[in-house]
Amino acid sequence: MSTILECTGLTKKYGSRTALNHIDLKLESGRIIGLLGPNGSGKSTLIKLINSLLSPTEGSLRINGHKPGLETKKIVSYLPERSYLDENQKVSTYLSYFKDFYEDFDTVRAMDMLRRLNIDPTLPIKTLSKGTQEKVQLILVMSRRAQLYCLDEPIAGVDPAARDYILATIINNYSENASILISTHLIADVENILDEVVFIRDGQICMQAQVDEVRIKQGQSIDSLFREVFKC
Amino acid sequence: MLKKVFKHEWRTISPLLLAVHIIGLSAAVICRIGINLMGGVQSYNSSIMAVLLLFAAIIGIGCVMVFTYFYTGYRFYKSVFAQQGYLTNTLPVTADQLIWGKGFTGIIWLAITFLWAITACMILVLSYHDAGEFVGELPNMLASLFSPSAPAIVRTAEISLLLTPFFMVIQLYVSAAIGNLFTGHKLLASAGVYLGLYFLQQIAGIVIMCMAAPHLKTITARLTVDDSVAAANAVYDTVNYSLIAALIFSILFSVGFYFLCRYVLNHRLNLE
Amino acid sequence: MAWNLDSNRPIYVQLAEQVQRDIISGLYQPGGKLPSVRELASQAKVNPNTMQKALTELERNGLVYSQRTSGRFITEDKEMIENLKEQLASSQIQEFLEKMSCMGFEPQDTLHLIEKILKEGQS
Repeated sequence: MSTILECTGLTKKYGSRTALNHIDLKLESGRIIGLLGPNGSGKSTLIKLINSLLSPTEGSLRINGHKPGLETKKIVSYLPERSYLDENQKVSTYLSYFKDFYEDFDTVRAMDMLRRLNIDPTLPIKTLSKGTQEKVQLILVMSRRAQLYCLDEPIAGVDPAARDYILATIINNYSENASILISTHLIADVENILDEVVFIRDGQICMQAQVDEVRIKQGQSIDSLFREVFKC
Repeated sequence: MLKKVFKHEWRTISPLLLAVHIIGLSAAVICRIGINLMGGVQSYNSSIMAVLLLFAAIIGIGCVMVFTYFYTGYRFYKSVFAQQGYLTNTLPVTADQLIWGKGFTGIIWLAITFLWAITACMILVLSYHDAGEFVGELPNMLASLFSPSAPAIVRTAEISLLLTPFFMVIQLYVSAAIGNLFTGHKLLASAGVYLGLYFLQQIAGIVIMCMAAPHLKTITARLTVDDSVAAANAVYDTVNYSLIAALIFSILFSVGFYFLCRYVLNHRLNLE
Repeated sequence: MAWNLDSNRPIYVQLAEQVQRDIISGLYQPGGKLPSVRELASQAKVNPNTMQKALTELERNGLVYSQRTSGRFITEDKEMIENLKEQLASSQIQEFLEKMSCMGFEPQDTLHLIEKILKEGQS
């Protein structure tokens, strides 16, 4: 197994506020990892740093051995918290957009997933419901054969049926060499698909563990461990 | 990748701009017919309504040009610094490719809208006879403008004209980039930055004028001794030098803007 | 088919148990081919890595074996499956008897009760 992500002393400050405080983190490839923490704990900041949407204040970040930049953007597939689709464009426009910019984009797979959801690619985005728009975005992101997927709160604010669909899509498109980093605060919903969890609080990593080891050693679910660790 | 950035940006911004320009041109034709029906605009004895319509049409043409310009800037802001920036900034393209790829669409549209405005004005004012003559003369006019024997001042003006779209576009982009650094009301901030930069350049223009002022003295000196040839030469030189100075200023500003824009894209993105 | 997973216990253990039950119940025939890891993972809505671990566990017990290219198969050793079936059944009965004794039933009383209920069911 190789290291897909390595952070050393990674720090991000917004003015005087510290969002991430000297984080050391190492993630292996071939795993589904949950990045768990309450709102405002630094989850999104870490994911934005991985996607070079932010520059670190201090410390370093390596993705597959590279600094965030052109090389890493080719191998990281990112699902942000909010929609980035232009409502006036058609779904098919985005298929060709992704095909053009990402060498690892699999159009056949994307078309197949759209067909199964009965989404007509010739429709403009704005004619789709909010939930469907989110699914389209997930399909685009998961149709890349990336090495690291960063999904920022993929299941927040969707109904349980959509939640099942999203988790199934993640599992079905996951390839063994890739890693998926899922940030969420809805732990009970995702914990069965995770290999590993990283707990983050106030910009610091407070635990990193294999989920089944937690269950064996502590005899409790990740959800209840989380509640214990983050008890107010 | 540069080509791909250009291609997709072109596809995104062109439909609306194309529609606006086609509608604008049709409106110009209709105005022309209207003016003719009202008796036309002559140097004497023209109908007030016809003159008003002509003015309105010319203002309309100006509005289309201004709209085209700011629309390209707005699209840049929207695709890079707003919600869509989450996708744009995670594409495997460099900041340079992003600025140039998108910038070229803006530059081309500025050129199109410029030529379009000339065409629209001709539709409004030229008679059939004049139009025929104009088109017939066009090759000669262009040949003389771009001939190697054209005076230096024409050369300077041509270069300025060709570079102006670059200056204009990068000024929009840098405004959007600086506007992005603000927390909240980013579009408004971008507009404010644009105005600020505009005034900054006006001040630079005044500085250039002041630098040219010593020459003005020699002009007046020559005028008083009634040496009209020398005075004309002095005027000519002064205008030419201040044009060159303005051009150099614009180039310096634009290069600065470009690197600032690039720096923001690489290190100071502030998406919310 | 629903896979009821309890988040308090290791998921791979529960997956292994479920597959084992399916073999014992005859859903997967001895010598038959097991669905792929990906398919099973998708059915159970778990990560393929976890399903892989569960199947490796079963391989260690000898209940399934993998053939390099063609996938995983159920053992042809029927005796082994029968033994497992019996093991599982006896552990279920043990558990049941413990619960009954908690309610104050001696094994003998429990047996009588079972016979009585079976008779009623027949009539």
